[in-house]
Amino acid sequence: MGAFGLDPLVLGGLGIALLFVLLALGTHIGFALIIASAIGLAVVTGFKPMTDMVINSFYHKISNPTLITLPLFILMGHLASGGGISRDIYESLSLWLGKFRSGLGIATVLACAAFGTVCGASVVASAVFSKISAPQMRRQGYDKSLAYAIASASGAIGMLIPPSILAIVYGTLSGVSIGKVLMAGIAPGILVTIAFSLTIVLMSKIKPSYIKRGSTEYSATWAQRIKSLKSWWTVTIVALSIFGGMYGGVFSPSEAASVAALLISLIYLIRMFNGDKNKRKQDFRELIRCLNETAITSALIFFIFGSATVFSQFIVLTGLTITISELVIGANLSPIVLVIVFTVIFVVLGMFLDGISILCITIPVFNPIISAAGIDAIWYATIVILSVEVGLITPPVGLNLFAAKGVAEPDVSLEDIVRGIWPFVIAMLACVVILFAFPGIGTFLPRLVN
Amino acid sequence: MKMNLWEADRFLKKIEKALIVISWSTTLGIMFLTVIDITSRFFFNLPFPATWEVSEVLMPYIVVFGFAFTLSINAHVRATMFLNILPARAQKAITLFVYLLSCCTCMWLAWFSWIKFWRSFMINEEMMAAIRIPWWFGRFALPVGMAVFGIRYLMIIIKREV
Repeated sequence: MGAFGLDPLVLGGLGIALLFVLLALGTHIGFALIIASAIGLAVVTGFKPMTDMVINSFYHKISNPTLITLPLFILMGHLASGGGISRDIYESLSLWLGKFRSGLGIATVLACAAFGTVCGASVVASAVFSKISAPQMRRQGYDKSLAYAIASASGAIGMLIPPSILAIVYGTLSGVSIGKVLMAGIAPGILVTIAFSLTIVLMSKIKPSYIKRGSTEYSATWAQRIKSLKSWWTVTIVALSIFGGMYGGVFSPSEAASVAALLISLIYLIRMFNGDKNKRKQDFRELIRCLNETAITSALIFFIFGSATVFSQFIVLTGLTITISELVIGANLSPIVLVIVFTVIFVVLGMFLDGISILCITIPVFNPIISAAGIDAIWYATIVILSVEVGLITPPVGLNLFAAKGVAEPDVSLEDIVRGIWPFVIAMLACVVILFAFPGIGTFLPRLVN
Repeated sequence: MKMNLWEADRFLKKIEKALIVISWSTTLGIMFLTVIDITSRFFFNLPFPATWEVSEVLMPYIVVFGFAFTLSINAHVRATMFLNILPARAQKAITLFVYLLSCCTCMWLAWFSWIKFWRSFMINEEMMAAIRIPWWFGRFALPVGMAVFGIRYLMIIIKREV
């Protein structure tokens, strides 16, 4: 029995119910987590110990130096888009693929995957490519709903391919090696890239009105195409420094993030000082904007993150997870059924909450059950991250959809983007099913490294 | 009264902007420190002392100092789906209530984390590291960040910007 003679299940359940009431009332997610757990902890321990617990666990989580990876990866994403790296990659891929009927769409998907190696935030990638590639696609005869849906969906690939913010959040909250979770995202990222490219080809066959004619603007000579590969050097260097350094045992993830962020910053500064005086001024303003955006994005993520640790402590203290684990094990549920149930929960939650909040709320409850059931932690991590990603492009709270709408041309409504997004949602769910059928896709790379 | 409120808001905005600059400067600082550590470790076999511990003390400045500015531009995450189906007056009343609740939570956290900082400062609490690093310096970020965060909530409530 817990405090006030309450059963742990009831106490923990009441805490979770209060959390959802606060969320429904529109409380900022960080405070919803803190208030629900503070009340719960006060019931269990009393006011003074509760206050100590809340402040100590919040402070110790946010002062964890491993988490420096988050602001640094965010900074990389902002500088890479602000410095025109995303545009260069897209232009190069357009020269290679633009002359095919679905070429520009596929170029967008591939550019997002490549941009994913320098940017770990899918919302940033969606906004950037909705600005760069979607208007180009429309000029080449793509339906507006398809053009913006491609850009908005492809942004999600960046969250799978390292550096991925979701992978860092998952690794930190669950205790699974961050390096391994990051590594596990590569193959599913490639899988989603292939699935989205096939979806675009299929869409052009099934509904020819979606992509009206082939492009002529992008017919280029082989010399031009090969010359365009020059613009890939930044992405290559940064990707090599992250992957080579981290998996070659040279750096820890936080050190890799520092080196990569410094490289991107230097590249940005070199480009800035190479321009004329006016461009230099403009680039400097952009640099300050990128730095401010980094601080803002970090603050909003860390607020939820620190608060989730407090919530996690409350859940652990009630003994809720142990009770549920015992119930689940007692019910003899097969591990696969358990993961399917959790996956459905993630996809449904993804329709209403953002990815980081979902991880923060569910990891304290679900992960002890997963380890008690003996499920492979890395495989489960890939399933979770991919399922949460589905939520990013699913209405009504698909953050990537909002990001695309935010920068879309004036005649494009949110409904237009939503109309075009469904084939990509189905493609992503198909990838989740493939990961279930072939667990090795997510786990073989992490197993190669120690 | 209105003029005073406007001036107070402008002053608060200045503080928030200063805090956000400290936040990203700290990120850059840790980035440089880590790269210097890696370079001296690999090329001179001479790791920079206490990089990890210095980062630990500085991390709260990156995190907490951005809270208030992020709220001032309405960028903190909240789910408004349920609220949106309610009549406008009910929406306003509920938002006012949760903002008040959040403001009180901020002040509560600010006050008790200040007590913790003060205790740490009075005994000059230090980290066990290769160089002497004061713990209280890191602890100072939480009360300051939370207090400004709470004041921003209060300002939104007073100005009826909910």
